[in-house]
Amino acid sequence: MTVERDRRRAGLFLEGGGLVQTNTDEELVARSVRGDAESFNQLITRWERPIYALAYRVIGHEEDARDVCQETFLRAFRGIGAFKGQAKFSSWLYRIALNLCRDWIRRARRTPVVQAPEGVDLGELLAERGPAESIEELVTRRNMSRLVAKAMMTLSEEQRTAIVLKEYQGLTFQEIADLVGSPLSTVKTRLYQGLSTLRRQLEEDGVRRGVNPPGKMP
Amino acid sequence: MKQPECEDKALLVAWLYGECDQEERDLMEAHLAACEACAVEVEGLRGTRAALCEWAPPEPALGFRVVREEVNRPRWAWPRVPVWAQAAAAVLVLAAGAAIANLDVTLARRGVTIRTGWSQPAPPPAGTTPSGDVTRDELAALRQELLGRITAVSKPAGGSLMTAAVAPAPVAAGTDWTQGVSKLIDESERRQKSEFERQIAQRFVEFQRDVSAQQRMEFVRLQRGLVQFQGRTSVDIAQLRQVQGQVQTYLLRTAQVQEVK
Repeated sequence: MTVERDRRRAGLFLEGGGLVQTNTDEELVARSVRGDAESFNQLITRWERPIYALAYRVIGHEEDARDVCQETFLRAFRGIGAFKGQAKFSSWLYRIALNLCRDWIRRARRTPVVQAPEGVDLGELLAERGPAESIEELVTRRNMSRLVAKAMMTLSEEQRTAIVLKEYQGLTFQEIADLVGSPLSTVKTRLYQGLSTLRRQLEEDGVRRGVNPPGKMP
Repeated sequence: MKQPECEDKALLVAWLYGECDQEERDLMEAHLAACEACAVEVEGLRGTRAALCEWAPPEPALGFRVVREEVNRPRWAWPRVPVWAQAAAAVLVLAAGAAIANLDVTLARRGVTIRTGWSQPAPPPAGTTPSGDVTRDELAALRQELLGRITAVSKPAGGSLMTAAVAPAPVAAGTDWTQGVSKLIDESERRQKSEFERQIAQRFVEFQRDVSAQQRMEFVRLQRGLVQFQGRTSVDIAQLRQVQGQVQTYLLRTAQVQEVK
């Protein structure tokens, strides 16, 4: 995850089987500050997926995550002139997105809810299936994904944010501490407590290491 | 028996994610080798991390793009245009306005008169002139005087070097000269007008050509999109049928297993 993030930042992308060097974030930011909207659009293309994934995992709602993602880039574009490069561009984006997620959660005291359809939609299954994955494996994976999502939403916002930033965005403890404005030890504690809660929750749902979740196919 | 390391959850997490120095790593590994409770906990947390990998977010079509926000700028502001360019633009606008309005500036006795193509008065009846303008008689007298002076200047003081054929007759030659100038002016105006009309027609043809080319490109792009969509739909249907077959097989298998039981 960290390797992928560093490649993304350095403008290294896989294309046609090999790594292709494009402009770095810093170069694109510099051009964007000078008013080059196309460079900013390249930054959006590079970072919209990670930002959307972050928003979705923190607030657990597809459509609102999309709105948060869009608003993040809009705010970034408007404020790009004030971005002095003291932090990484991605960290700056993450901070904007996290603030928007926090606003979303607190605005109406909404509880994050992951949309997890109970039935099996063949179309969705088809779209999600890996190249060498059987339908049984796919259904098992979906069940596990649903259980993890449900367990994640039982955590406090701070614990969930720490786990999302560590597990899925690949940030270091220090980067998370800087991003959320908390001491390093607090971040580690939140992560430990969050993981422990998830472990208990998943065990209650019948998920153990090496054991498939209930509802698995034979 | 609990050891100090059992309580150090920050160290445990740092070790779990590989973010501790060598000394801390050695300490933690020695502790895990000796403390079964912590070893079980670490194993459980590793399992939880493995389960977290299964949570994939949806992948909607995003494709956000920023478009320059020109609409938010005040209409009066020319933020990036230098002053000289603004002045040049103003002159161009004035010139274009004058050309379109057929501006006519004449110098009369009362002062400067400015007329446009739309504000030109109806031509006056023959033999009359607008009040205050130069009369025909005055013009004729002025012309006569000018021709007289030209003739006088053309004759050298010490005798004529010009032949009779070259030397203009006072009135007749003067008439030819003014008529020639008038003809030249008319010809020049006619040429300018036809050139202007030709340029307008050329621009119009170019514009039409551009619009047609753009329409053709859009049409081709639309066609390509339709073809791609049709192709993808066919592939999706084929894959969907394949999955349906697999699901049916699975259901059949399940039913058979239950029957056997």
